[in-house]
Amino acid sequence: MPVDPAAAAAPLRALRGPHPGRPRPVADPRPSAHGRAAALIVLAAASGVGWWPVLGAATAACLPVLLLSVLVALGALRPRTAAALLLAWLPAALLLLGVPLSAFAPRAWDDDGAALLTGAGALTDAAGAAPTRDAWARAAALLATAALWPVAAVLARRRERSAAALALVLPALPLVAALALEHVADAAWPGALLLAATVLWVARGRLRTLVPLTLLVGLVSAAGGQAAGPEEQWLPFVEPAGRPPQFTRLDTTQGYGPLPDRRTGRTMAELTSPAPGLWRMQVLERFSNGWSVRLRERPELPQPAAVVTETTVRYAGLRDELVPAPGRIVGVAGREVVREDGEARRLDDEPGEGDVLRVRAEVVRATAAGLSRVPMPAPGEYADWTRIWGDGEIRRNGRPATELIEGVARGDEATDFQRVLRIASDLARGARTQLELVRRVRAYLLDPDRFRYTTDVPEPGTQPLYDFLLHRRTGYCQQFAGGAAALLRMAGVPTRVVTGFATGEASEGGTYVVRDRDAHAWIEVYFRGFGWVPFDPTPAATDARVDPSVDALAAAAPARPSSGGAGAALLLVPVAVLGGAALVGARRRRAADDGAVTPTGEVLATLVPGPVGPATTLAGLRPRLALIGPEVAALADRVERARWSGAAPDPDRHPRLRVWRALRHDVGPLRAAALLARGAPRRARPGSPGGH
Amino acid sequence: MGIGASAERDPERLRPAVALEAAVPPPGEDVAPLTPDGVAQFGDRLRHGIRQGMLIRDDVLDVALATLLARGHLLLEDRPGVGKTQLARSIAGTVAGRFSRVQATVDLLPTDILGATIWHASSAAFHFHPGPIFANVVLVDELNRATPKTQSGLLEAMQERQVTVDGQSHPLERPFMVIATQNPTEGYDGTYPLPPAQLDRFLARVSLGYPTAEQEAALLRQDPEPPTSPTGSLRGLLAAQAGVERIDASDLLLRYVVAVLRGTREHPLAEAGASPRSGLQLLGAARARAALHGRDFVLPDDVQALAPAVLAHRVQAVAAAPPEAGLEVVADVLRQVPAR
Repeated sequence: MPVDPAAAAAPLRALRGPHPGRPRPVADPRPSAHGRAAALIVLAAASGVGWWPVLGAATAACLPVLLLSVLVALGALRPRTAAALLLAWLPAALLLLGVPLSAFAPRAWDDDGAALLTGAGALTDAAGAAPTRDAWARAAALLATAALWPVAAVLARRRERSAAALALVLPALPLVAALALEHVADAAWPGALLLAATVLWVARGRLRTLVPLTLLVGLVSAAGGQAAGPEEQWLPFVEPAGRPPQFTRLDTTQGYGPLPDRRTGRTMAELTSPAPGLWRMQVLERFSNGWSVRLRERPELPQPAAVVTETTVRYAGLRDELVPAPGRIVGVAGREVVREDGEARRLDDEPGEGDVLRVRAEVVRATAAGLSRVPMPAPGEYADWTRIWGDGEIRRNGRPATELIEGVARGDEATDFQRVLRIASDLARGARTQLELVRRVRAYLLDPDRFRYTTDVPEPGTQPLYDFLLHRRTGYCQQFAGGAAALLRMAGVPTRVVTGFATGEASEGGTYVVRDRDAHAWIEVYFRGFGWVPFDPTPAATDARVDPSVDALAAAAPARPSSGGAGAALLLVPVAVLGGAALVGARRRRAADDGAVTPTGEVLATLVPGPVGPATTLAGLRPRLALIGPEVAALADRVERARWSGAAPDPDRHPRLRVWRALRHDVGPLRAAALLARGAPRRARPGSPGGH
Repeated sequence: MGIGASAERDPERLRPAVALEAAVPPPGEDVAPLTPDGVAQFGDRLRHGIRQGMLIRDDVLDVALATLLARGHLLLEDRPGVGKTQLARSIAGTVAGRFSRVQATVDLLPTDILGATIWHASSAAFHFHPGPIFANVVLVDELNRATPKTQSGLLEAMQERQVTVDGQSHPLERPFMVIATQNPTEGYDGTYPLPPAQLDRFLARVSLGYPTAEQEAALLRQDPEPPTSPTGSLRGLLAAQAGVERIDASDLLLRYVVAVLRGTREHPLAEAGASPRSGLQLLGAARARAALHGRDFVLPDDVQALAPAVLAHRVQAVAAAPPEAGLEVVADVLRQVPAR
């Protein structure tokens, strides 16, 4: 009755072609060779620019390798021919780069290998002033490109996704290496180029449409990267008139907002001192939602452990009239000065380039061991330096602010002020010595998972420090120092904020070169029997260069290396894997719900040899399943009945487990697991009829 | 001319020698339906009985029985002399039903099939003389030779199950099956091939084909046209047909059938695919096959087994398609619609 399909198929197949009734869109299965060659060129150019500071003109030696790779990627050159050409050309190139002829002798190959490795190591050193002249370093670079790019070009011709991905990653490696070794300053344009190369690689189609698309993608991503980055790193499209003025004076008022001046790294002054220190210019002792200089005179606290040192200040670019010194200024020689609020001295006129001052200041010498013997101060002992409201307002009962939080139940804090009080009281609980408390507050602020250093801050609100401590958690030295001092005052420790310059770069003769980027703010804590001891609660990511010996706690314990997001990133991997598996499982379950495909049926279908099409029914599989065993056939019957009889639907959970259980009765557990895992070998015959 | 000239009746041979069971109940009364097992047993008896009378392929017999139980009509398309008449006779014989045969020629009139009212002088009244269509199994040979008017008369009666002559309606027999034959129509003159709308009335179209060498040798060896003793009865057939109607088809299976039908409509070779009526008939036939296998639910296998016979002649192929494109279309669709 049914006509043999094979016999009737022959003339019909010819008819199947371009039938007017149903044109089928055919996607071009081959990847665009032009696109991939263009991507190779883009990546090579980016790598060349990235490695230019290190290799200099030697990058030109890699051009023939690039040419060969592009030709292979385009299909104009067979890989074997390209390999032969490469092998023939490499020795000549190496000779050109300066490798001695004697290195080609077979005896010298061991030494060659070692020299290449040292050369490669030389490449990883930071780029110096001039490109390297080391022949072996250049040779190592050339050999690395000769290894990466032709392989990538060969892989680019293939169609499998894994090969294509690998072929994209390989030429990107030199660029990534350059970024990692910091031969390239910022990553915006290399990132955009990498993205553009990926687009070129992945997209199919003609080059005519690819290139504008890639340019668009690259521009948009570069613009986006710039816009998302901090404002100082934007390309200077803004008019020079609109730019903030260059830094020449240290503004000691704490704005807690965007920096009002441009820092360019210009040298401000050179200070010569017996020991490194923090060069303070003014202290801020009044806290009322922000730190400011006290206006009323207070008696200065005694500093028993202070030593008078002499510091020489040679001005360069600094035009500030406040005098920098490593501690409380005792006397200034070289210019007339007047006393200024905040333990500062003001010159009568702007200093000029080359002016020299000799400053005598009290520097407190303290070690962590000595400081740890100082107990917590009694409440009210240093009322003036633990007050956290303005002078007109008196704190209730003179108690430490942490005692004020006791009236508020935990979790009921209604205002930001109460929340910060809660933080301070938590930090102060159980602290027996003052140094312990300072250490806790410092560690709290230096925790990289909690606070982050950045100069990109928005305009401040009415309570900038509470915002910083509770909500924003990002800021620069003003916020960190102000926040630390606020927390310590709330805990009852006499603290104040100090503005000035950080240590700077040490050069010979005890001279420290201070730049505009070293403008800094830190805290000073009064320890009875010692004096005002400086501490630096700002993370090490700051531009200001602070000598660790200045901070007693930093000298005692090394800073915890910022894990950054590494911990979170490690956690992301299993989360992503589980999420992906859950998605796949959900999709598979959803696909099994609609349509006539059961999971158990599918699993059973994998067990039988022979062709299995989508139209093969379980009843059609049954004879073959019966060859395996009666239990499996009975399972097929049950599944079939449950599925097609219109009775309550079988939820069909754990299909593999059901099949395994049935198989176990027939062939034993081990063979059952093997059958399930492997599936039966199947001869794929196109157009084979479903089981009838 | 009236009846009798080109109609053949052979009541003697096919009247049962022994009255096995009670007579067919009158039209108003229903028969108790059989269970699927009962239907399967009945089908086995029918098969046995038909096989006594002729050699026939399993799949063709399956389709014929499914058509019979689904109350459908069968179209046999074959060369002459392969046993079409014998099949009709065997079916009628096994259920102890009446068999009649109509040989269609160009000059066949509708009244030759349906019957006419004739004036009887003795009773001075018009009496209706029923035509050969008033039988349980009617074989209409070479239907494609009859004129379109005759064809339509027959097909209308098939559909309505009654004959209206001179304003009076006469119901046809219960059970009732028409087996029509047509020779393959390449290039014969003087034929009126059935249009698609009329082809749609036949539930299934099968082709008996030539027997194998052994079967042919056995055929020549045995007695030509042995008598067929009935193994079933009309009442049993009615009960089986009622039992078939109670087989349920799940929603999933209905979706499968719909998918198959839509596949035939969207196939590139099909100008017009299977109609919704063909879906109903396919489902009925699938139910019958499920019952014949003793199942109380329909499987896609039933649909797959019957779809070529039921759907292929209803698919109109595009003009450029070769003959038998309908089978190709149906085979393609069955191969692609997932059935697990």
